[in-house]
Amino acid sequence: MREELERIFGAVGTDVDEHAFDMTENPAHRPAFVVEATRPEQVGELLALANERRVPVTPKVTGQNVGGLAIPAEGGIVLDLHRLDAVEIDPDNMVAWIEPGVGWDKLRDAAAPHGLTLGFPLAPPESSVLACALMDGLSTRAMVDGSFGDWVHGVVAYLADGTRVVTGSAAVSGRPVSRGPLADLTGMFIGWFGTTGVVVRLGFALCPMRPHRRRDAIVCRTIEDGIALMKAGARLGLFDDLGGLGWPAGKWALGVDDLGPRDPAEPEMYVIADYAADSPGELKAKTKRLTALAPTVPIPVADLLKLSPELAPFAELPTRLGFLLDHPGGGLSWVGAYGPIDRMEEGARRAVELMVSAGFPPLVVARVMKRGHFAILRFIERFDRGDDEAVERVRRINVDLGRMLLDLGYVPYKCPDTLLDEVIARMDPGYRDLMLRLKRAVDPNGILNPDRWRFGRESSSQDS
Amino acid sequence: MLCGMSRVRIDDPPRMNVLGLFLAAALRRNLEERGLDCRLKGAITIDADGMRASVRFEPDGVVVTRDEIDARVTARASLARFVDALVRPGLGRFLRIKIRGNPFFALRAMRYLAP
Repeated sequence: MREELERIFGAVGTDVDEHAFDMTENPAHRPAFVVEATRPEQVGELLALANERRVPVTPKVTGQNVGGLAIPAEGGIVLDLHRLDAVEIDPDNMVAWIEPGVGWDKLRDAAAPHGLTLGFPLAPPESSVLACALMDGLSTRAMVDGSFGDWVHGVVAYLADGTRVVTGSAAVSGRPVSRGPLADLTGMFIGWFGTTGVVVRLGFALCPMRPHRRRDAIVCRTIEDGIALMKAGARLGLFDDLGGLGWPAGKWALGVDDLGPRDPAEPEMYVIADYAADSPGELKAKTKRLTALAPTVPIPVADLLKLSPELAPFAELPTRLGFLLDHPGGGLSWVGAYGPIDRMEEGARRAVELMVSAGFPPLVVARVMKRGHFAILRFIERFDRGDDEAVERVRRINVDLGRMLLDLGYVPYKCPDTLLDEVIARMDPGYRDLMLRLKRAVDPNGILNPDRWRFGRESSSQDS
Repeated sequence: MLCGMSRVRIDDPPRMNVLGLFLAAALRRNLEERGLDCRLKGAITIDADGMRASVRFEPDGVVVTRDEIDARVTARASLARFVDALVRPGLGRFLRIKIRGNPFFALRAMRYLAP
């Protein structure tokens, strides 16, 4: 196998242990080989080989997924895609072809000269836009544009046997200007966690960069105040995003690592408002509207920096939130879910109670998405990865939080490994069976990321 | 000894509220980075819509404490609006403020809580 891999890639990585784990509580799995693609064609060649030998393959870019999804199969191959990093902008159609290694900063810089931009998640600048889009993540344009799955206009992917496939309008025209009007096979690669194919190119929608922009922080005494603001703002269609962050984020950012209980008199949530305009007057009108809706006066984040430069990571995106990624314990995990807006308050409040009773600072992230069609709730834990007891506590709280969210009608996104079994158990049987049938159709030997969606453990009822 | 020559310390950081953290940030900038001359001795408690933090100026440094430290504070400043508590003190834009106790001390203390 090694010789074959060297023939395709020129070299085989020796750092297999570095790829065995991530920053989450999920157990490590040691791969047998690590290879780096420098040309998309190598991906097809590798998959054909792995399929013939029945060796599992896990695609990976920066490994910063916070759900254990980039942890490889034991004894398999890690396919590192970070060196595939080409960007091609089509400015008239406001779309970019991007490869997996393109990070948020690189795409922002490539789009800006054309007067175009995109939304940004709270993810490091170098993390993969393509991976986030395929896992239907969210951004600072979530309120107006929804989750990233909606921004994908098509993909170029390799199936398990090495077959190359193009989806979206590009399947006919070669240009990713729209997801339709053909049968939507792009969906075969979104939310599947790399189990149906390896995407090497993705058509990603961009949006116009408006010349006047503001990022404000709004202090909310309670989570309920913050959610009320987000709900009201969503229906106006004036703001790119209103995103709520729980109180621990502010304190961690200000340098307090070990958080005690919240002072009952201090704010429970900060809502970050992102909005833009074509003229100063339009921007001013939006600020006025936001001020009328908000429980307290919106404060430009730039002003907060005068108070404390430690808050700089909140001023401009993409950003690296050091207090989440670089803290001494090194562990980071979360549960996030999309669900009904009418259960947001209950979900957030119950999560706070669960987290506090389990001894975690209750870092809640909340957003109203796509002009008010659905909501996202996310709960984040920092922990010491070297402490087995802490790791076990994180596992338990994530299961508890996930079950609570599922009971409220929320569905985990970028579904953490910890919750996969719970989600699958609640799935419509027909839906699950269709997933299995589709998986078998495109990956009959089960080599693509086999334990994601538990494809390694089940087969379709039609096939059994 | 000038209190600005010593470090600004937060008493019991895990319990400190965000008002106290912002006040400490402003004090560090003024006393430690800018080296402002500080000859104050005494304490001020700031109350912002129920959230309180106290700043005690001592010869060997400045200590920020959550809540009111004791009954012998030199001055108390109360802000009506919640957001003013977080932003206005540090930015030096006290708009609606009530001061009790020694107003001269309070005004001098404010100098170190502004950017």
